[in-house]
Amino acid sequence: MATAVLDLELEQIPPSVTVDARYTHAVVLVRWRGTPVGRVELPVVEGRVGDGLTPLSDALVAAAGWPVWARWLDRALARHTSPAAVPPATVAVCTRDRPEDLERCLTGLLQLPDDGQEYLVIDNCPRTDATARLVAARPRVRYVLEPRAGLDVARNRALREARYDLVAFIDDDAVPDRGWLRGLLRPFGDPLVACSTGLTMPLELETEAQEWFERLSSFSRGFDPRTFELGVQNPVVAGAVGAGVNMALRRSLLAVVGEFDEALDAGTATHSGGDHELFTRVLTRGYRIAYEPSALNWHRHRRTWPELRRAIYGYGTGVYAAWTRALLHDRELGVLGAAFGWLKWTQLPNLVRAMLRRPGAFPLDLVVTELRGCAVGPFAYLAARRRVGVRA
Amino acid sequence: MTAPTTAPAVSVIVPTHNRHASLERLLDALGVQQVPPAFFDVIIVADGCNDGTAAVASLHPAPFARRVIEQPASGAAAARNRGAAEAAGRTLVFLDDDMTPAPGLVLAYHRALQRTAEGVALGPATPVLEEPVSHFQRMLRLWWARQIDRLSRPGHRFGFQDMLSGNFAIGAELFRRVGGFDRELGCREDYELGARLVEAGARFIWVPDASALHHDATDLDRSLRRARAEGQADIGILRRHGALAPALKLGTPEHPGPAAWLSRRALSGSALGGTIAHLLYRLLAPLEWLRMRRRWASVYGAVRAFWYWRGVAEALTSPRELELLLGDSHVQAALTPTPPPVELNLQEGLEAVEAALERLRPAAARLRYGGELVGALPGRSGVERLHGGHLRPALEHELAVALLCAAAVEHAVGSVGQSAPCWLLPHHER
Repeated sequence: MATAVLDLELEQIPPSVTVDARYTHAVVLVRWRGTPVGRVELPVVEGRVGDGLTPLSDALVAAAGWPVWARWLDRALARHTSPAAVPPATVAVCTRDRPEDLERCLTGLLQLPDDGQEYLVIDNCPRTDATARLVAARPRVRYVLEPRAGLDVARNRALREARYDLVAFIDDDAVPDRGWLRGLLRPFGDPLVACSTGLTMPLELETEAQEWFERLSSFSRGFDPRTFELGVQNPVVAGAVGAGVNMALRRSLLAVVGEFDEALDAGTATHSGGDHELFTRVLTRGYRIAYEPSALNWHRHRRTWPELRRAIYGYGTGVYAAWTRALLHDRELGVLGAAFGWLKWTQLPNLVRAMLRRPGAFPLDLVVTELRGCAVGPFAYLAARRRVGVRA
Repeated sequence: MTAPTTAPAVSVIVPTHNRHASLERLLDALGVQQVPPAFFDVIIVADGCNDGTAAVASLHPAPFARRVIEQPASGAAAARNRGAAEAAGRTLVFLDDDMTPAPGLVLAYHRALQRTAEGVALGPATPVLEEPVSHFQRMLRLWWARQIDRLSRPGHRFGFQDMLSGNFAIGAELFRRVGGFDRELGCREDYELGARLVEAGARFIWVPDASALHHDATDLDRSLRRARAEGQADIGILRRHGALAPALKLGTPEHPGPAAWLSRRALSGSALGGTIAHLLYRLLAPLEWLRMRRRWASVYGAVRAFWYWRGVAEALTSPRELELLLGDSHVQAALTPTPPPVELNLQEGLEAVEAALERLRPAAARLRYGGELVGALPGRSGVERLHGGHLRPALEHELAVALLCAAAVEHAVGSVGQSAPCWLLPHHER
């Protein structure tokens, strides 16, 4: 039950698209003149994408909806908005013992149009020198070794080592689209934007674990640019604004907001949440986070079921750990309401549906794993904080 | 410093009142403008200053010509008028003393007004706050950012309430013709000037390069005092421009809720209202401490409404006067013949319709596509008349769906694969 991932341009759609016979579904990223405008799921019948009745382009336009027409109209009305110059930025990849994934990521990064950006790899607590050798073979990429374990530790190191004020982050298991960096940097013309996030599509959906990961924690937030700020977005529910797999930060404003919390995220007892916790702080300090769908990258989800379970567990731990920090450091009492709301409106219904084996329900072991992660989260944060020796 | 032999192209007018440190920062920024120093002069009007502002202004080293005028405390409006009266430049740039202009500001304003006859140029004033920042200041900063987003949107139709006197430029001749600022209003004299400019058919331009940093010292208490002054000022505006009632806060009833309850008490002068408002005000600090932001926002809104309406009540000569004024404005609006909206057909091509809007500058227009109605660009009180620049943004946003439907009815709309439908191109490009 694999799903093919396709990337189609509306102005150049072939009459039919065929994929390998093992795929039963296809997920299509729809572009118009290079800009992502929609995402469609289509059935695959005997290797042909589509239901066989509607022409493919009609199905894509219909499913993508208004964003296509809005952009088409923009072009038809010939409103020439000249794109602002893109400032040079630092592109940082934090990695730990994943040289195959990193290689794919770096290959994609080095193919980006040259706007003067620098590339930085933070090798976090590696067991071998595979990453170091990989980066050494690419003179354009700067290598920094960060011996203290922790993704947020690596991110903070990247922020310190960066040469430019704008720092874009991409995960080592993701690949950037050609327009990724320009899209991600575009919102920073607004001086109140401290952070931007982008759209992440799955690189492949070959295994059931990858398909479930995509269903459970899709990185897509729509195809229209959005700005998140106080008064519009509850700052404590930071999952809605973006994810660390695809984000850029303005260092000068982080002086006010603070760095990543080194007790959070991969490599610590809390497993995740470092990115969301920073987003919360950006919002509560009165700055903006801009979501830019043209900043597209492709993420390779974990392939096996045990890895998926660990990821879901880590997600639950991370959310609750980030909320614990917000509560203890910043007195964000809203986390209590957010936790209650999540439990009542999402987690418990999911659990009930899974137990009753309703069609379309999430697998029971994943739902339970997430709840276990949540229960552990606050204690994990306190333990991790003690290890880091972070003071309030 | 020898006086220039010819009049400068631009006069920068700075009204100031006891803020000499701020003024020095402004003069420093004016010293590094991207135009030669002889291009502009600076007129500083020291309004009732007793902190040595006049001396500081005269002695501050600067490459440009300057004049320092001292006057007894008469208010910012009077100070601006005085500066304008003494100015020799063809373009007047008004800057408040808490602004720091960008190096390109004078040049940007000059260019914008050269290109546009009867123009009023507005530039962004981004607030800069010193950390640590209170919750109120954070929300204020975001509010300003949203205002700037709104004003900088292409095709924005400027209204009199978009006029902010801290950073703008206007032709000297237009300024004198409309009569400058109204000295009688304690605040919102910029809105009132904006109303007269809209009536005179002035053309508002947004100039993003004419940006300034606004060292805004407004805090929570100041904002409430200001709300009261705004209430008083709105009565002044209503008396002068009855037709603007629907656009003013006092012309629209408050949403039902605490704000509405408090506004009624404020108008009637009730002591209970004052007590409740004061208690709610005291609630703001604990709500901020508890990070209850939504509650904080609604409590602040209610307290602010109270002080606005208290200001309104204070400016009224009698309790019934508000009803009379609003009633008058309704009658006035009913009796004034509004010109019918201009009918325009998009099938003639976008350039033709834009040219028609430029020529006619109507208050309102109805757009058709062939036989199908696309929509209306309605007239609104206090909002500038239409011009060519309003068309395409309106078609792209408010009227987008209607436009596509109308075009689909009139022709079959081609597949999305076409680069541009021929019916939207002007004739010679088809």
